[in-house]
Amino acid sequence: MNEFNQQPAIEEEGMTLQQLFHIVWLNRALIFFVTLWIAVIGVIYTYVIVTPTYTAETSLIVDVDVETSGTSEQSGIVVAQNLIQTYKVFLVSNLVLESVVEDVEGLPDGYSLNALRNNISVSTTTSVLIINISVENASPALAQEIANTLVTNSIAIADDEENGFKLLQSKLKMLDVAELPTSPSSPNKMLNIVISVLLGGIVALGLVFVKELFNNKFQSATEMEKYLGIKVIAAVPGTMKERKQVE
Amino acid sequence: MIDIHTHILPHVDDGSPDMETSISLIESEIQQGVTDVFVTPHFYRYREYLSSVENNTAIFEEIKAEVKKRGLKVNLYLGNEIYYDLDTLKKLEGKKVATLNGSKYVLIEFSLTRETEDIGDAINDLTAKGYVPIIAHPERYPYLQSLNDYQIMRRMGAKIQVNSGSLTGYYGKKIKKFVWKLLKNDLVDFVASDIHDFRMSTLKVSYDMVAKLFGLERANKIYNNKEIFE
Amino acid sequence: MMELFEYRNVVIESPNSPEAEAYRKLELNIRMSNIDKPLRVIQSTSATPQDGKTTTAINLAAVYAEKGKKVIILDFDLRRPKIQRAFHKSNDIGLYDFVVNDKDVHDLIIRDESGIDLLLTGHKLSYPHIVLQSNKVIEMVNQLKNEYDYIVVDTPPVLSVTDALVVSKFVDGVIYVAAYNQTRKDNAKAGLEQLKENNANIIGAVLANIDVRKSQGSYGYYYYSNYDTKE
Repeated sequence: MNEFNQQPAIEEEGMTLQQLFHIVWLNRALIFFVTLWIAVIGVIYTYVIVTPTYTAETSLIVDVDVETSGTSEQSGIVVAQNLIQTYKVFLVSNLVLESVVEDVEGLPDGYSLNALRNNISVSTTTSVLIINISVENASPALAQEIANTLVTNSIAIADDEENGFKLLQSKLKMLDVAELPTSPSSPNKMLNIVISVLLGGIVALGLVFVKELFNNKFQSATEMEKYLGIKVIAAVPGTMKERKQVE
Repeated sequence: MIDIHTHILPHVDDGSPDMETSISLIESEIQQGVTDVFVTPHFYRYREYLSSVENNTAIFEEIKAEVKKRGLKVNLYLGNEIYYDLDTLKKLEGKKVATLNGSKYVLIEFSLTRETEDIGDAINDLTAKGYVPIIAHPERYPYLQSLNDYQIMRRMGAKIQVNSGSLTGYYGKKIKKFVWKLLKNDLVDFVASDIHDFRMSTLKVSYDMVAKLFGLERANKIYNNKEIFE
Repeated sequence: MMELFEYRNVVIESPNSPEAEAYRKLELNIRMSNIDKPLRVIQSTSATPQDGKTTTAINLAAVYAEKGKKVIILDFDLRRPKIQRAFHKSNDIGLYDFVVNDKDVHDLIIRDESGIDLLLTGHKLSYPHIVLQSNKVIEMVNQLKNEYDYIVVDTPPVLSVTDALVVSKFVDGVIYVAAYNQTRKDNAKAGLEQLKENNANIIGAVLANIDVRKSQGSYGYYYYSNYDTKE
């Protein structure tokens, strides 16, 4: 073997940044179309497939009667704060929800209470005696109705002397009435589009790099030299054979 | 019309058996509108059609005389339909087989069943020596059933001759479908009868079909291809 | 099934093009690889068919002819000869007549108008690998060595048949061709290993089918060769 030609057969293949950019450039069509398609799918999904949901918001205030509960204003508030967690659970209890299902025409009898519970979110902020309630529904009117019914019914049940809920009686008052939501709270169209495009880009680049990784044909003389272990003494045009001319 | 492929020469192959039949066949050609007939007997080693050029010429002169005697209005030319093998080129150079009317055009055929010769090499070798090969009825070869094959053959310098019978379905539906596809893609140079007997008098019928579908100009280009006289 | 084989000799057709320059560079590098003992009998082969070995062979021969050297191409691809296509010659006489009919090889050599001499294969020979090893053929090549400045030998791909390996034993050097984005790396390596095992003198590798214009000077990445390049 002619020593002049022996190159050490280097197994490891690193890549320069320039080579990376070149690969991206070579595959620009693939990248463009994959990104486009995934973005289109994302858009179709967002605009057509997903049913927009509306959120109606209402709130309750926990109105503590300082006098009846005890010693001082401050302790009344402390008591109220401790009981807020109870109120939160009460609001979405089966008792309350059943009455909501009964009263709201849009909810058929036998509507799953768990499903309803999942659409209701109750939140509080520490040291604030206000309970915020949001109800999600595909129909804005229904969302509003459920929210308001929930609040009025829970207050009614709480205040009903027959039930004997001493803890809750006369404590809850509606604060904000739920308004009819005008625009959907989800899906967030803009966000979805951006995510689709980014996702498309990531998938496309992933495809490109997988393709390059599995490419078992020579892409450069340097690659050929490294892989074969002999010097490349020329890079020539050759002939592109035209096998397929028709069809 | 010009018919470049006929087996009208009597006695020498599987075409006309005798002079009388030959004359009748010629009359039928004239009746269909043919003005120029190339008489192309087989030269086919494996089928033992080995009639020499001298022999063919002698019989050819007889036919010409007979035709003149009867006052039939037709021009006759002599050639061969050569089954191509590795000796063909040598035979051509040695004038042991004939080109079409002594021109540079050579009518060659290949196996109807399997690809036994490299057609590409055949075309290359013939064109390298200045001949123009005309491939006889390639639409009948099962190994040449793609448009790409015909593109390549023509690009290499060969001409394509299809049988009028292929257009009318004489060889079956599949070949008929394919040959019309060839026509549609303008891959045909000549349409000829390859007439052996009366069943194959399909020139006029097929001409009308082509004229109807592609127009008179196109029909004339392939049924009346004057290139053969250049 | 028809296959189209068209070979472009850019050195002859467009001598001032960068494509032709690429082949001149090949010739230069061959010369530089062994200055003390000039390589005059050069074999062109590859791992697999259609990798570009025949095109490389004919263009290399054209470079020698253009320099005024006396050069001959031996088509030793006896199974699928292509040199007659490349120069549009009839393959009616060739090596067959030398081997079987004992004709004088000088009567079989074709002179092409480009100044390149050709020895085609002629009719098909049986047992090509045996023929190519025979003393008769080897002596013929040695005789031609005295009459020509350069001999370029076209052989079949290494992985197809053993003919290339057989020939590599009596040539001065082998150039190993692989096609950009076409030849499989593992095949190329396998073919090369076989040549090495046979102690072939491998001058170097050639990367074929690249677009010379888009890759001037760098040995980085390439694009496909543009078939219809104008000068």
